[in-house]
Amino acid sequence: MDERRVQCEFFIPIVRNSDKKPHQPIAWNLLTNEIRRVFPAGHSGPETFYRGDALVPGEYEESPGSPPVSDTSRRYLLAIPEGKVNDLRLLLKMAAHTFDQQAIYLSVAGTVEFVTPTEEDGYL
Amino acid sequence: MAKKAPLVYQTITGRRIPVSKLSRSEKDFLSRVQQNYHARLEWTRFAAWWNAEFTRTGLNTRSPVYRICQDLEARLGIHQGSVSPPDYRDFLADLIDGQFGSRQEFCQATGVDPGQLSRVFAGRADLSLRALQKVLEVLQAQLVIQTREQAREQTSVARAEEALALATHY
Repeated sequence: MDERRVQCEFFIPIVRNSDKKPHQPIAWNLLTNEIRRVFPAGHSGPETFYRGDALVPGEYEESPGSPPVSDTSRRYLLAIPEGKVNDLRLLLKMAAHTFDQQAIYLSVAGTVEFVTPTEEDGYL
Repeated sequence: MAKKAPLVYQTITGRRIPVSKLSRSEKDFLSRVQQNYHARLEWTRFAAWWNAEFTRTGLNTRSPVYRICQDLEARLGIHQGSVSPPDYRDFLADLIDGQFGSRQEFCQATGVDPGQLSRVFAGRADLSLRALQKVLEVLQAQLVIQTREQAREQTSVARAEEALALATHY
């Protein structure tokens, strides 16, 4: 029987955290390539790759108590087997480095977490 | 009679992708892409559309049309101010992909530290001029300085539209 799938949603801000510059084209290409590699779409696997259809405005706090900072993110939706959610977390840790983010917002079946990378997690 | 030049799509990093031998399904897909691209959708909306359509079509990511769509997406993003224009990292990545297939194979063949290369591609580090020259030697490439106007022309949305029109009516 097919493993139960869960909907995962994550947001990638469209600018770098350190200098607030938009990302290079290569960063977006690496992310898409890696998602397709880890969660092969179409006939080759059960996972389905969806992509958010709009830029999503939002805000975050850089530290507790500091004023909120506005940002704009790209939203991604993936329906993946429950057993592969950890693969997504690992992918997002690398994405956090590549996209120069301290953490990536991830929602797994409605439960929100922030994926925070360590230096060992590497890059996309 | 002069020999007909092979039809190519040139990416923002100068990579020349032959498009005269596309399969029927690749051509059909590219025709649909051309129609949507002409509408100049918002960058992320176009990305969402072509990715879903690509998956639905069942084409492989090794197909040249996958790379072409990534390039079209980048052009829209640059044009709309949501993506940075390509810098030397994008050019290097494309050369490595084209000649070695993957960063791992490139690093194995050249002895370049994969961690350092990843940091460079992520904008967390730069290659020294000496290291860059060594890498360029392996890739049989050279540094070229161009004006912003020339760079803008290279990432032009209209230029890509012309190339798409040629590729789909060949």
